Amino acid sequence: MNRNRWLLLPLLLTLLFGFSLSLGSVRIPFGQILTILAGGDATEPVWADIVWNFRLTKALTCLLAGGGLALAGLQMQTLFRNALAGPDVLGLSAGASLAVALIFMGQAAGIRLLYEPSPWTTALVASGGCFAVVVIMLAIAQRLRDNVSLLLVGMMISAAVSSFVGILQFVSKAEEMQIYIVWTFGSLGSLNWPEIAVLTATLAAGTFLAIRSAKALNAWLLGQHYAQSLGVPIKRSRMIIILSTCILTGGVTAFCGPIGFVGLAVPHLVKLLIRTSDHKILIPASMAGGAALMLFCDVLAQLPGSTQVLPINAVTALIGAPVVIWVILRHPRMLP
Amino acid sequence: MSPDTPTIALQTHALSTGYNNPVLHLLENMSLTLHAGELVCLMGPNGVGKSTLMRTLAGLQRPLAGSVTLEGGPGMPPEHQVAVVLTEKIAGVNMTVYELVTFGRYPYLDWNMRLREEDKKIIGQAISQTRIHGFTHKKLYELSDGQLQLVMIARALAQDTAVILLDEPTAHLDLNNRVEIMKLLQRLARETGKAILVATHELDLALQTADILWVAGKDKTLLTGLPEDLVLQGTLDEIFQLKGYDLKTGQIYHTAFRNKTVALHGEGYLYRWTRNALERNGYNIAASTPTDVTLTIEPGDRPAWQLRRGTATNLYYSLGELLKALPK
Repeated sequence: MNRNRWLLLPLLLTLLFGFSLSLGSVRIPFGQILTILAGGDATEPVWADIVWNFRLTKALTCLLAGGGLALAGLQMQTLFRNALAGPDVLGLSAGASLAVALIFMGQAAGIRLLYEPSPWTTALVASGGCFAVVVIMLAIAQRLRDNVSLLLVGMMISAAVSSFVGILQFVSKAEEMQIYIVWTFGSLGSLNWPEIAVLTATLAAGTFLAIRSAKALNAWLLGQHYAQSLGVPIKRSRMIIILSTCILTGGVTAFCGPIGFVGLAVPHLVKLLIRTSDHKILIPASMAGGAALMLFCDVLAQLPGSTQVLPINAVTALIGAPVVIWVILRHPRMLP
Repeated sequence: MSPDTPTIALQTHALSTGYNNPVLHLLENMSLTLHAGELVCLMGPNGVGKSTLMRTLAGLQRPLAGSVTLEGGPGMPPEHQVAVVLTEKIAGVNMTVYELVTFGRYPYLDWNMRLREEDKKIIGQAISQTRIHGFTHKKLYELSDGQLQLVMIARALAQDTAVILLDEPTAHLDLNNRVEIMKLLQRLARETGKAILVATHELDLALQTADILWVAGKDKTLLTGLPEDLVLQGTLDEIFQLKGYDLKTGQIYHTAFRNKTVALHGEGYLYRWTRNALERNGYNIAASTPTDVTLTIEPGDRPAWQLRRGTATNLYYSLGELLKALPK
């Protein structure tokens, strides 16, 4: 039983994926959904459009966003040997938020960057924001010998950026602020197929780096000195892990907004299910777990009224916050 | 190579250790040699720079000056030459003992970490040398501190290096585990021919197990020598400024506060422990000086203590009874 517990993950994933496909404001029988996906004709022609261009894109976005954020969180927790590290902690989400805030609300501050912010420009600018933080973090990482200091720097960057966004909100007009706030709620349903393709490619690059770092990640569990004594080139390895996290977080944040808690909570939940510390297993397991949690949150967000959808960030926080409290109670020393 | 010149596993040349920022020189101008098959204990008061020296020797920290040379030379990666056991707490409580030992093979594995037959053989050896086969399937959080330390040593052995450096491997362990670890390290040095350097605070254990002592603490220098020589030369007394502990007898000093002398006759461990009881209770011990109190130990299956005070003679069968009868 214990040995086969990992089977729960793909099972859960498939179930939730199917569930997510069948939920929505229009009721479509599940058999019809399968027919449409298999390339057949549905009884109502409009259903095909709904399934292909709304339901499937949304479910795939959930898979990608959840998997990407969870993998980023796993790597951060291992690298910093801190159970509460997550992609937001390095200041990446904050960097993206600042960039987006600048386009949406910049006019008020006299910085007119873009006239008509489209989803693509938002994505691009958010990635730029992440990247800027990455550059700063990489520069600092070169100088700092230990990871805890780097973590603190990340938190300080987050704090500084948040206050800057606050100032922007204070001086901007109500409608501009509204667009920005909607973006911060997070959104999984607004991606079209080309956007999904770009997101997939981005996440594939980040995942590739993570898989190549699996051995180093295992070694990082023992701490920097042990890792070094085992021949891990620590500076380079740390750069690669941070870069991978940035690509994963940046990609997801750009397209879906700053989604909180998934990166932090999923690695813990996965380790609870599959009791291992081996990243060869943890990497795929966390990705599957993140995808499943994201689908679950999305299903929850749809449930209350079938026409209204809750902001995804509210749902992930509702699930994530208890997990964080549980982690604090369970890991008094904060080791992952 | 002739048997009288053992292989040099690690050597330092005018090595200075410490930190550059701000410049903090801890130990200077050390020329040290670690030989194969030798157990060396590095001792010194807290804050003298033992851990820094260990890290520098392991190549985890740059020396301030001088260099460290390893047997395999600069062409061989250091992780194939030096393994360490550190005081750092490790994360990953879900790891099993066996998994942790396999970490020792990481320097030889590619990113995919697939163990070859040879790796498995070396891991098996490390496990049997440290005698941890009984619990290789256990998770790390299920282990006692002593067991975890054995596993960390097994991991270092699996790294298959000529040198193993251990930083306070017996800290936080009880006496039994401390002795077990030190005896294990002594045996490993003999049997595997590895050079083993242990930084430790356990003076008594080090004196009884180490082949060589490195003692840091005097004017940023490090003295080396045979443990017994360092005791007899008074070097250790000077560096540790021992308070109430007589290294030469291995006993704690007692003050004879009762100002009474007991003439004690006997031998062997009975004598040793009788003397211990008397001295601890503030009596002076004399072998032949004229005194009105004479104690004779009668060995046997049931040892007895014959106490003569003037003309009265009494027999006691435990030291507890005897102490009560002695003049206060």
